[in-house]
Amino acid sequence: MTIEEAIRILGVDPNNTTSEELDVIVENLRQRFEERLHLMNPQAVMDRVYEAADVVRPFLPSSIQRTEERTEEREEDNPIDEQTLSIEDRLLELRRNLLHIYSQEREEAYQNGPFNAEEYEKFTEKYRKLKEEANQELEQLNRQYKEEKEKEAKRIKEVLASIVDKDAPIRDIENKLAESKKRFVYIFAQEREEAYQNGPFTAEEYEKFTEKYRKLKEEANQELEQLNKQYKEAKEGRLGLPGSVSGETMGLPGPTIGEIPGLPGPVLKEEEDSIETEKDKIRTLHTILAEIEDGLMIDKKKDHKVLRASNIQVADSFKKEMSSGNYLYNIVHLVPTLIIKVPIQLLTKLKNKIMSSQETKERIATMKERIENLKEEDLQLIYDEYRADETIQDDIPVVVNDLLKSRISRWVGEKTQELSEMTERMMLNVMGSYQEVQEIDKMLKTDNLSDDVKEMLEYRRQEMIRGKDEMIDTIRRNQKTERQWYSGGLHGMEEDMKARESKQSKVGYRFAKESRIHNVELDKEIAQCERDEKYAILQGDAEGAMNAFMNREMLLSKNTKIEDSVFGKRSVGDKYYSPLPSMPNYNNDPFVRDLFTSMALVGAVASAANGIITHQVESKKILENQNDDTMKEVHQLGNELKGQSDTFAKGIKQQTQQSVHDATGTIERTTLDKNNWNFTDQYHVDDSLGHQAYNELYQNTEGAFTKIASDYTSGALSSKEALDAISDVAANTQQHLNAVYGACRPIMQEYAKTHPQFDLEGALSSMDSLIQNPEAIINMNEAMQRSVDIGEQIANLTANQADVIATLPSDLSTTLIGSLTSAALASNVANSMNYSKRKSSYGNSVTDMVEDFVSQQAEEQVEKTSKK
Amino acid sequence: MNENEKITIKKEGKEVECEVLFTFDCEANGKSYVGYTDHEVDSRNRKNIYVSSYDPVFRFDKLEEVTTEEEKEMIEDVLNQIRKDAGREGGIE
Repeated sequence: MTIEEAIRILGVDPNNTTSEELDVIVENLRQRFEERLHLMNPQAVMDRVYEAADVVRPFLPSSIQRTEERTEEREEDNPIDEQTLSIEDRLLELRRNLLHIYSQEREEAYQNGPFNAEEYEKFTEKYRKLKEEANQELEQLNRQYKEEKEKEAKRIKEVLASIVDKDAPIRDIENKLAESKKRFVYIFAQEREEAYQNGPFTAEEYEKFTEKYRKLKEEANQELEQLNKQYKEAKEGRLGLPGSVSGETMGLPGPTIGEIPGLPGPVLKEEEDSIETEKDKIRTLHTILAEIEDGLMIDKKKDHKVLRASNIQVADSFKKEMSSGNYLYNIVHLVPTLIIKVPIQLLTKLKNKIMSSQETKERIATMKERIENLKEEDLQLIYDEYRADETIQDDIPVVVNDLLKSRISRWVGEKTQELSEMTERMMLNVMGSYQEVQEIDKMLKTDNLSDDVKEMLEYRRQEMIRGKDEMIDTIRRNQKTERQWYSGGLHGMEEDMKARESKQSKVGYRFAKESRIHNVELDKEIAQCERDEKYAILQGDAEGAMNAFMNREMLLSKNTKIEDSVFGKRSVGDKYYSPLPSMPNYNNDPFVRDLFTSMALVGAVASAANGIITHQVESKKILENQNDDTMKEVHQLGNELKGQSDTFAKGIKQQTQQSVHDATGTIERTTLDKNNWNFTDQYHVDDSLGHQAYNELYQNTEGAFTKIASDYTSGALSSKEALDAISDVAANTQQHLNAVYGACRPIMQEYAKTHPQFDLEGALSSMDSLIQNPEAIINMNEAMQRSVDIGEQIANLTANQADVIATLPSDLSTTLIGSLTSAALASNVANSMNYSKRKSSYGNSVTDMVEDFVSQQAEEQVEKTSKK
Repeated sequence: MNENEKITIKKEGKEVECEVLFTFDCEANGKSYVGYTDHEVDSRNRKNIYVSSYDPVFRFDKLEEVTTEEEKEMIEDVLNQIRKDAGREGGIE
């Protein structure tokens, strides 16, 4: 190294720097580099600094000699020295002056005050001027001082650039080489993808395709070759390179400005700031979440009120049972009806009307087998294309959707299993290495460790850390891929949100208790870990990536709390740690169940309307054709109903009466069929009108429900609001029903007048009751609980079949309409809907869903039976 | 609480007497609540506890459903409280 190079590296003026001052400069440099430039090789940098110091030192005067010379120079009034040496002193002096002015002002006010107006004017003016002048001078000098500091900072930066990291050029080429290799390999992947998507090709297309990729590969290969060559040359040249000092004079300033002579702070602070700014720009999931939530009190539950119980009294027997811990409990919020007599005879009739369950079972079994035998390509196709509106367009029955979903879920599980196992192995690897590094660090801190042992430990430490950044990057990519499999597309994401909304946790049904306020601060902490991890991976900092990875995982784990409760285990923490992705679960949501119930109720009302409309048509027809035989049967049913009506509870009463209407219609329809529908044109017109009225009712109802379901799932409505909205629809439907009934009743009454031999009182009073007691319909939710007795008699179902709701199709509105939990209710609706199937273009979807629901119930039976 | 009080429900076509397990009040909404069971256990070894609100004037003759989320959460809190008081600590995994 020459003296000129050494001077440039250190930035000293040999005539103005003593040997002692040089030592200080070197020491400050060492401290700065060790603290800030940890990503580079500080040792290499310092080697060159020490070398430069050794070269310069013989040329430097001693400190005594220097002091004398400086004194002389000061006397000669060296303007540059005075300017640079005394800026700080002058600043200090000016600040003191300014403060002094304030003190003087205060003193004078104390001594000479109080003033009259004129004196006060003079006094304030005097000090205003003084302060202004002092402030201006201070401002000027401050500006000058800042400019000087900036110049120094720039020079330091240039010095650092000249002496830091000889290997930077090589590393730069290495990075470019790695990038180029990635791009080269990617072309092959692109080629394969395009061949898969667009193939097979015609001869001409194939020509173009291969030519395109031939060119791309050639260019990429050439680029690689060139970089490779540069890399080799750089490596060889490095052995003989004099170092990377270049450029013009770059030097450190004299030892006056700033706290530590020779080195102002801002240079390295700027670099540090730029690292932080880069990190802040990194986007992660929790960064976004925290940004969205910041400053807001996010209430996880939309309905905010907290109710507190008081005066809790508990039976001793229950206390004992609780303390035994022998049971878990289901909470049932519906009121089981007090004593009720069920009309067995009519239930028997209903049973006969339902489609053959045995036949259904066989159909479903066949379907299941076919789906089981689907090929890989078919499953991939279903997975890719049977999404979003495609499912509605195809209008496939509910039970098929469910079987498909079950198969696809298994298929996805198989696909992700290998990935999941790999992720698990790598995570264990990282965690194991992290622990070992912690242990090694502890050992390194012990005293009296021999150099050999230290070296071995440090080597081992490096081994543990090496490659962890890439491994963690792969873990994150794997997790992302797995999640995409489980939850692909926007619809999948909606489902996951619904799963989340339904308070499902993986430790059981609806056991995740909601804390009131979302922990935004925790999200910010997680966001910081995510940013640190990503940044470290980008920088190739394996140790940094590993630490950030562990911090994030531990943070999530620490904030996960599972506790026992009367309902089973549940999650009560702020987070639910789940390192290996899995399928979300939205089963058994009580809110959804309540919605289903409400839907079922309105479905019943709609079906009752249908019954009335049908009856209206039929009765008109009856009036025209006076089919007495038919009316005999109606009479009989009417009597039966009348006989039972006094003992029915309101809810079942309405259902039964509705059944009567349906039964009436059924009989009539059968008769019509037998007669090949030989009727007048008027009949057909009336029939169409009746169905039109029904369809309108139904369409309005379904339209309203679709909107409610959509608003609920998007979060526009809370659960309470959704239920209220459904109640409104139910009420409106009831009003429509009233209007239809209003048109029908006079016809029935007229007939009764002219046909006294037939007592239609039963039928009439049941219609009255239906209209006049809308709360009876609303109270039909007792069917939820009572599906046990009714359902069992009809299709041998138990209350546990309600769990089947969970496996119904994923589209919420479809599920709502389809998921009628009361088998009796469902069968009634199915029966009444069967009319509309024949004549109307609409109503099929509801009928299908209901039928399929019943089929599904039956399918469960098949499975249970086969398991036995 | 009168330990001899019962509530009768209809299940599977038969009248079933249920044991009253607990009662409590809620000052905020002015309602009282009762929990009762028929002790039947399902295949998952879970018992049904029916919870309804009632008018203290009519006692258990007129039961009403619990419909709001706030009420349901309150009921869960009460049950967990009963459990804790009965001497079973909630386990944390």
